[in-house]
Amino acid sequence: MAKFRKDTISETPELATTSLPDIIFMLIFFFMVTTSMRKSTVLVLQRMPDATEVKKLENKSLVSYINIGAPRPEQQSLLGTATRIQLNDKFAAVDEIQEFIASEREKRSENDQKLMTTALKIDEEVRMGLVTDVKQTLRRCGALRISYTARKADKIF
Amino acid sequence: MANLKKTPQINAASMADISFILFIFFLMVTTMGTDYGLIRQLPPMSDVPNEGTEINKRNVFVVSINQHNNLMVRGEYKDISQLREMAKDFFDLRNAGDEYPEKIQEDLPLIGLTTINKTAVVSLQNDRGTSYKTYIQAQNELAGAVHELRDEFCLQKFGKKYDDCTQEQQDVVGKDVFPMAISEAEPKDISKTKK
Repeated sequence: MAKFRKDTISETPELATTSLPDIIFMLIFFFMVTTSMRKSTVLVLQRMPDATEVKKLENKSLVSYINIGAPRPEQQSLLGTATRIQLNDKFAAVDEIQEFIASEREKRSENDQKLMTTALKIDEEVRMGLVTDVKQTLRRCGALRISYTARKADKIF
Repeated sequence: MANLKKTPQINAASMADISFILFIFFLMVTTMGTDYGLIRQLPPMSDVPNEGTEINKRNVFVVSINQHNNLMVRGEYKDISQLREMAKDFFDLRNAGDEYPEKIQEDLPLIGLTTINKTAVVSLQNDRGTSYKTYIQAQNELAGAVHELRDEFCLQKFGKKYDDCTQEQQDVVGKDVFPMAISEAEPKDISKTKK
């Protein structure tokens, strides 16, 4: 018996890692398909309001974003806490929206221009006065399809 | 047969690391979250003030929110949680009476002769000081009321919910029977109009 046992002493087999790259590649492809490139860093504080009746925004390439909110906490010592509008990568005034929409339009083909949506990403603490001003500006430049970005919730009360 | 050499194997051990670097790069530069939102259509801007088109009071469901986020629905103070039921009651096609919108009989495709609201609109008014959160809650409740009514109507007529209906059925119900008639028109500043 001892004779046999000697033969069976074995090392733990090495883990086959040849398929590891393939697994990681699969993960990469999954992420490439499900995510989209981050366009710009958000400079304002954003806690979206909750809503139950939200719809998913289709076709992200047709969406342009307007961020509104107070500056992020780490910048508040420099910029204060007053509500600001962010277009692309910088803060802007209400009348700069017109220019922004025009440049966003130029980026899209003529067929897509009608389907363009402006997503208003607004912090829940923002007062409606500014929101109304932004909406009026959007109406003036004919960007009529808007979306009030909200967090999907099961119930809000 | 001496020249039958084996092709030397490529060392693939670092392949995993390379793909890990790529993977981490994608994790950093992409965003995951899908965006959800309440999609609305703004009315086009017109230079002519539309004072001529006065809508009958019974056809308008006025919701106003003041700077303290208090809600007034058709002249009465209400809590926002009551808004959905009130809006449903207002749009409900079975309700007849002076306080409900005018009804009209119309022959619609796919449905046939039905009673629908002639014009029934929600006018959502706010103050400049109203918080966006309350405004979105009100928008959400009003949209919820219309969605529930559409669902009920579709269940009754087609035996399935609105979202499961065909495109043609959705068009008829969504445009003619229960349109999402939330007026985003001329913002009224409540505090100013009171003066």
